Amino acid sequence: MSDSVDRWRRFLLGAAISGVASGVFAQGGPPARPAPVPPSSRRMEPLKHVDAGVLNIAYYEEGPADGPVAILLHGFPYDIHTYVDVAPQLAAQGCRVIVPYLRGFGATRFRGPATLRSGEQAAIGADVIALMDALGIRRAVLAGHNWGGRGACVAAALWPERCRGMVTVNSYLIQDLARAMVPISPKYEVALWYEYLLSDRARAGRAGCQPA
Amino acid sequence: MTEKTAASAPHAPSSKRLEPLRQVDAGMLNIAYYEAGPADGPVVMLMHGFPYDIHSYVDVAPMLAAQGCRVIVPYLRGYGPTRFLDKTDPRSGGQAAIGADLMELMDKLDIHRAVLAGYDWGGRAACVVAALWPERCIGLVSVNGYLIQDIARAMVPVRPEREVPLWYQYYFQLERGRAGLAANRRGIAKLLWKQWSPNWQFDDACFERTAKAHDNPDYVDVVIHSYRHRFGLADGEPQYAGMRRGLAALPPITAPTITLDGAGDGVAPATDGSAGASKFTDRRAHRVVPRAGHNLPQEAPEAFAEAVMELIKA
Repeated sequence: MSDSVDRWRRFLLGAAISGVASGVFAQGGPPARPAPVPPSSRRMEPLKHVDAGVLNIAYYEEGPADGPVAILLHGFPYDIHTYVDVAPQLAAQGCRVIVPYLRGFGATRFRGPATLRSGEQAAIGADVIALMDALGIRRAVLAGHNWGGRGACVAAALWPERCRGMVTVNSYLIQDLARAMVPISPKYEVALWYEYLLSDRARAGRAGCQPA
Repeated sequence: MTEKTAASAPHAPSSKRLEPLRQVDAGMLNIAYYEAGPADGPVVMLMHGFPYDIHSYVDVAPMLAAQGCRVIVPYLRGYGPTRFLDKTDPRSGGQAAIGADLMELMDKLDIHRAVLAGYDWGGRAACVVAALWPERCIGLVSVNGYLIQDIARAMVPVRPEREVPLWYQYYFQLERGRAGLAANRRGIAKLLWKQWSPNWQFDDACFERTAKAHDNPDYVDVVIHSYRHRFGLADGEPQYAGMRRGLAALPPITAPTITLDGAGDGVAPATDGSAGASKFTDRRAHRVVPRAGHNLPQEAPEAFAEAVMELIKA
């Protein structure tokens, strides 16, 4: 095994254990098992607003302006308060933390009434880059779960120069749309009931409605 | 309005098969069916649902036959050995088609009037015939009440908790759902059985006895078309246009009716029966069967058979 492979393994291990703020090259032991955290009732306020691409994005910011930037991206059906406890922990360790409301969520608005309300992965990823551009952030750690993790993956994959590192829940989240019609085990399909409910039933129904 | 039936012990499924089958050309199908009881007895048509087969009536059929009924238990289109006569006929699964099949079968067997009894797709077929051809129906036993689909209101959502158990219907709107059903007939059926009948202990042999009926070459097409048509997303067949117009009016059922809900039904939760009450214009009783799930005749055969016999004796 080469040194570089070995270093990469340590990198992955460290990243997995230590999260965003500690160095990704840290050599940790097994992660301490934290006690269940009672959900904080505080609100992430005040919000800032910035025009970025097709959106006016509402976001929460915390931490020193000159700190390394971490962009924390929420998912569906959640909002920025997924990070209500993460944000201050990172800020306390010197990070500049940016927590935006995704398109369609909270105080974020489309700037034009005619803009298609797309929720596709490319749009979510483009919003991340547009926000970084609008705030003059060249590079950041991109971190997220669900839609937000997907936005992070998209931005990291297509604009690698903008990404210092990535934390993603559920791993590689870029959707393989070409294989979207390939079924999986029924027990996992059940969990996706809402995706089928929310799908374009009219179009989907017409696509295959002619009985063979 | 609701009556309670006596709690019966959870029913150990019988391992016997409903055999031998008979077959008859009826309408666009060659229908395979099981028959029991005296040829001159009052006729009871026992209609199964999705994803089940005639063995939902494995215990009900002999109970009724022993009490003098002539029992007919057909495999629906797309199930078991029932076949389309013409390779090119569309594999429609709409409610009009299922109802028409029941009428065609009665015609072919020279059955003028019968008690129509069923659940799920089969209960719907029974409701369709009872509503459109009331002169053919002595009485109706329907699990989950009035089952004629209001397709015009299919896009009106219900509470999220009630949408969740319908996941398979949304799944079937996608080509992914068609591919999934084709690849996992048994996996999907077993999952739905467990979700819909949480109190029912069925073993592998019991499941496999029925799952074989889903190997029918038309099963996937009929099921997919049924659930797409149900939401107005697939056209029905021109030959049923008149029936569809009739059904769109949500016609009343004028035959004496007993509706049954299973207290443990995981897809159509038990009700007090008031929702569809106005659709039943003759005598109507509504009963909640303790513990029973969606496959009510197989899970609580005594309660089901008793309802049929009440209509025959009335």
